[in-house]
Amino acid sequence: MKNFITESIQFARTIVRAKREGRTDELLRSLKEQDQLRIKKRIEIQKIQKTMMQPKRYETINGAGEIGWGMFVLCMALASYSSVVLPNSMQKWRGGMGFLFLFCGCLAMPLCRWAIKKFVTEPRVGYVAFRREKTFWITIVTSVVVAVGISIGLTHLMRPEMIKLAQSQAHNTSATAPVTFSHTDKIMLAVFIVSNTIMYLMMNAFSIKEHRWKWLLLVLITLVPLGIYLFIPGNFYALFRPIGLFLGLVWLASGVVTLFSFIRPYQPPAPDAE
Amino acid sequence: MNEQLRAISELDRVIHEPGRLMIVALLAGVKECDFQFLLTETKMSKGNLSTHLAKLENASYVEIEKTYRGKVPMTLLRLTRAGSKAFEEYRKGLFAAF
Repeated sequence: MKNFITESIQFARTIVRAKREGRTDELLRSLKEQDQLRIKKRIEIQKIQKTMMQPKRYETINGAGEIGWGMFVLCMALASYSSVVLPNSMQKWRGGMGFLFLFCGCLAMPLCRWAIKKFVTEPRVGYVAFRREKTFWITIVTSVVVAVGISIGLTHLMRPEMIKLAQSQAHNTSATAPVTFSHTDKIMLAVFIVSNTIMYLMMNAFSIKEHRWKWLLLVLITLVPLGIYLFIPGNFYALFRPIGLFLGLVWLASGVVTLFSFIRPYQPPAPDAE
Repeated sequence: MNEQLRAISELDRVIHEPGRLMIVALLAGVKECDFQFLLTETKMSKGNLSTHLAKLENASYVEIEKTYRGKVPMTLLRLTRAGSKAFEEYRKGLFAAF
């Protein structure tokens, strides 16, 4: 600030002096040159910062995160479906199937990222390890704390409905919960849609600039669940199944298209002649 | 204007060359990478990249480690502490010039 004030005063004095001495044109020319140089150098500084950020795009550019997340959501929806679709005679299988889908869902994310990095990204663009600075760990810890806080809050809020649902399932009255859309459901829905949208934007921070169709998908994954909840009767648990299935497939499709569009320009280098 | 010129002339010449500046900027953004990665990112020829890396290694700005991944030879590259410091000072110098 001090520098800026001093420079401004000096600049005003130079103009007054130049006017007095009749050197206005010369002064304007020199100012223009200085400005051009300043702009050029500013562009150079921006270029350096952009180059430094360039490798970070490889964390999301190959669609691995989207495929992993899509698999996770899909497995969650299938786990939920397995408890409803399987007949009562296969009650033993219900728990097992559900657990299997949950297990696969949890493994999908790290496995997809590892496999795509090892077999697709690294042979094409080379090996790169990212520096995890202090801010990264602070962000991770903060996110985990916030997520745990929200989960505890929501569990506390949903407890009465969960008990009601468990009782209705224990008495075998109905596999699905009542069709009313309660206050808790609204909160759950808002959290689900907002987190889903943020996740999509985070995973596509770089590729969304390249692939404009992802904006359309973003609108789709935000509006379709909202539309289903608004126009189809049922509560959050019952409607999560078709929505989970839909979102999982959309994420998966988006990831696969991203992966293929990444593979096309980056072909593995030809081995050197012996 | 004179101060600007002085600030520019004080910039590290090893880093100031556009090719090497790109290499150092890329390495500053990652923990380590291999030769193939730099080749893809800089779009330089293998010879050109090797020459720049040798100059940076001579200045102790870059650490080059020849290793194997399975049976495939791999050249790992990372910025040294001196390299990080020099790049930081270069950036500060560039900012100060304006």
